[in-house]
Amino acid sequence: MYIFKYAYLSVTRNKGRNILIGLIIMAITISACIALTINKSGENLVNTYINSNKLEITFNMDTGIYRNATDEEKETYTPITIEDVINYGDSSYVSDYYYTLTSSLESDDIETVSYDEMFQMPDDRETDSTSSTDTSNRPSFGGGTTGFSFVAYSNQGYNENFVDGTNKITSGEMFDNDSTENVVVISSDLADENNLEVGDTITFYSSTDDTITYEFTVVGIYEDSSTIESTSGMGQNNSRNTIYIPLSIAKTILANEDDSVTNKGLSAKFYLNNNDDLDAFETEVREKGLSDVYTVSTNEDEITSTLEHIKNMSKFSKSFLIVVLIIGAIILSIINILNIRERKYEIGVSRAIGMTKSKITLQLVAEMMIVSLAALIVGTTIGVATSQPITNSILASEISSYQTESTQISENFGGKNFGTNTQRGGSFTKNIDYVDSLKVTVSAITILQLFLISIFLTTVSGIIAITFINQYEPNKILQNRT
Amino acid sequence: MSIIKIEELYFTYDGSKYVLQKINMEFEKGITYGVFGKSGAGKSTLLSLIAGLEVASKGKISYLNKDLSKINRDKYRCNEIGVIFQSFNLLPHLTALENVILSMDISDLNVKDREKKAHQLLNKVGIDETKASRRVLQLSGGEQQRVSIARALAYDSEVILADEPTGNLDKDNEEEIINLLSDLAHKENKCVIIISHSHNVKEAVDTVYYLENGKLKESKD
Ligand SMILES: Nc1ncnc2c1ncn2[C@@H]1O[C@H](COP(=O)(O)OP(=O)(O)OP(=O)(O)O)[C@@H](O)[C@H]1O
Ligand SMILES: [Mg+2]
Repeated sequence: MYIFKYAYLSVTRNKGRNILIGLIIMAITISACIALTINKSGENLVNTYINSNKLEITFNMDTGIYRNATDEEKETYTPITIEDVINYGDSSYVSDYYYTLTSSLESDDIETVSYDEMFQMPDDRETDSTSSTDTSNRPSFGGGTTGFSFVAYSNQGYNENFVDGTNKITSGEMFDNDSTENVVVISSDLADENNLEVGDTITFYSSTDDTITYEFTVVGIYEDSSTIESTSGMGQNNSRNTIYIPLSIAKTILANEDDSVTNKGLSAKFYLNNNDDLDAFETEVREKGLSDVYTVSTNEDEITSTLEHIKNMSKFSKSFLIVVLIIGAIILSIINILNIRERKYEIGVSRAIGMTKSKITLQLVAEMMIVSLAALIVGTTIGVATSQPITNSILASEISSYQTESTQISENFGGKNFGTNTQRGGSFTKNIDYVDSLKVTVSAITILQLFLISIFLTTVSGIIAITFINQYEPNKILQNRT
Repeated sequence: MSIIKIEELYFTYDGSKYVLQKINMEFEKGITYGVFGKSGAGKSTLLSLIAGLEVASKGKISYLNKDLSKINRDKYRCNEIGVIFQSFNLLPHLTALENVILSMDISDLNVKDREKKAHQLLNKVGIDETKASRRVLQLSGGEQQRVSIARALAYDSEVILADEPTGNLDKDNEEEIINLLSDLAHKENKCVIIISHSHNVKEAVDTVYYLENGKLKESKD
């Protein structure tokens, strides 16, 4: 078609004008390319990260619902039992699950490892003895006979502290989880405090009924390498006072307590075959009778917390992209309109010698395409080349601002209030390995999207401008040009 | 049979004052026509109407018995009539040669070896190959005028409309152009309509029309 020949001639014969337009399109393209690449790479990273980390699903009692419920309603809230957990776990969506049983017993034979023995805190001691309101909030510090925390895992493979090496058996060995004997594994600090060795026996009694007693044999001693800051630190919640027991023994202990205690000691976690099945799994569990007072929650936030800055950057780049595209569309339209006004004479002449409106439109759009395609290729190349260093520098400043923030949080807590976070004592100060590099990859799809976007922008703005001129008859254009 | 027939034509640009009034004209193939009149008489306006660039306000213009206001005037312009505009109307970013070829490209006429034919036409009006490859703005006014003539002849249309085709030319060149246009009518059986102030043109044409204040004053010298 001859139209394209003249489009090409027109572009090459009006170099100055077209280079200027090309530069503007290039600037828009580079910005859009960088924004799009950062956005895509960030999203990909977050997704891969979430998908490669199995979601941990827990059912938590919503205390708000419970508090506002009437007494009759409270009757209907059935607590989760071990049988329920096994029932929920028996699902096609579930790849694995486990539960822990936590109970507390007291002893006159031995004393807990207290905080101040490991770490002098004179100030706390003072407040502890003078302020009565404080004592109600905090478990006592002075050591003595406060309860020990007895923990059993339905599957030892999930005993995180041993898996990740925070705890290591230094003497004796870990019991067989199926054991029906009264055996315990205790921390080296607790052993030292009470001069215990493997083979020694300790007597405990129920904190609610001291006539129920248990005699345990120490079969293993573990070294707890967690730092003071990273443990909850106080009384019962000091991880040094955690005593591991076989599952069946834990069941026996809890069976001797009343129901409310039993149910509080149970905590379960479920893992799905596919993280996307969460909703389906919840529906299934509700059908199986999970009470409304329980909410289903996941650790997705925790998984992605290390990616927070990448998410931020992804979000920011998306807004940036939208702004670039809007401003780009406006600028392109204005340029096109000015460009076409300037070329009124040419259009009038072409019309006068019999060129149809549609052919003129085609020629002008083709010219814009040639210019934007050239600008696009150069712009994308520059954009791709610069997006990696730009990502790195944005990421670097994001990370440093994030690290300051997290140090701040830990300073605010001063290690004291972590006692409330029993599940994951001090996870804030856990050494978070921030994902500090984002490999920016430019996919063919990204480039294709860019091309489509700019071709769309060019066409739309071109057609707007052309309709503007095409409403006139050729003579009018020729007579009114200026 | 007339190729172009104008019946009771009235035309106004602004809706109040008629630039052309009560025009009746007929044009035939093989004849040269001259339209004369004072500046502002309405000659170029009449040419615009015949060329299908404007539409009659009242009355009608027909080409081969078809009402111009009802046909596809783009097709009419690019195939049936060749116009030499008073102000040339050449595309500035194209060379003389390209301007001529463009008109061939736009027309539906299947011209073989366009470049050769364009060179021949340009040669006929006195534009050599070096000048033909220059952008039209780098040519003199008279040269541009001759490119514009070559372009009007490029697609072998039945009607040639020429608005002051010799306005920028010296006597020798004028004579050549007049001969060229006369030959088109007499040897190639085209209908040639020339608007002019030139006495030489008046001498050369077969039929003369006078326009005065938008009205026709038929007379023959
Ligand atoms: N676009 C326009 N709008 C309004 N009036 C116009 C327009 N074009 C021309 N006219 C008027 O119409 C009249 C005829 O103009 P036209 O161009 O046809 O004259 P002309 O006979 O070709 O003159 P010249 O010999 O100087 O070329 C003039 O009075 C002119 O002012
Ligand atoms: Mg005129």
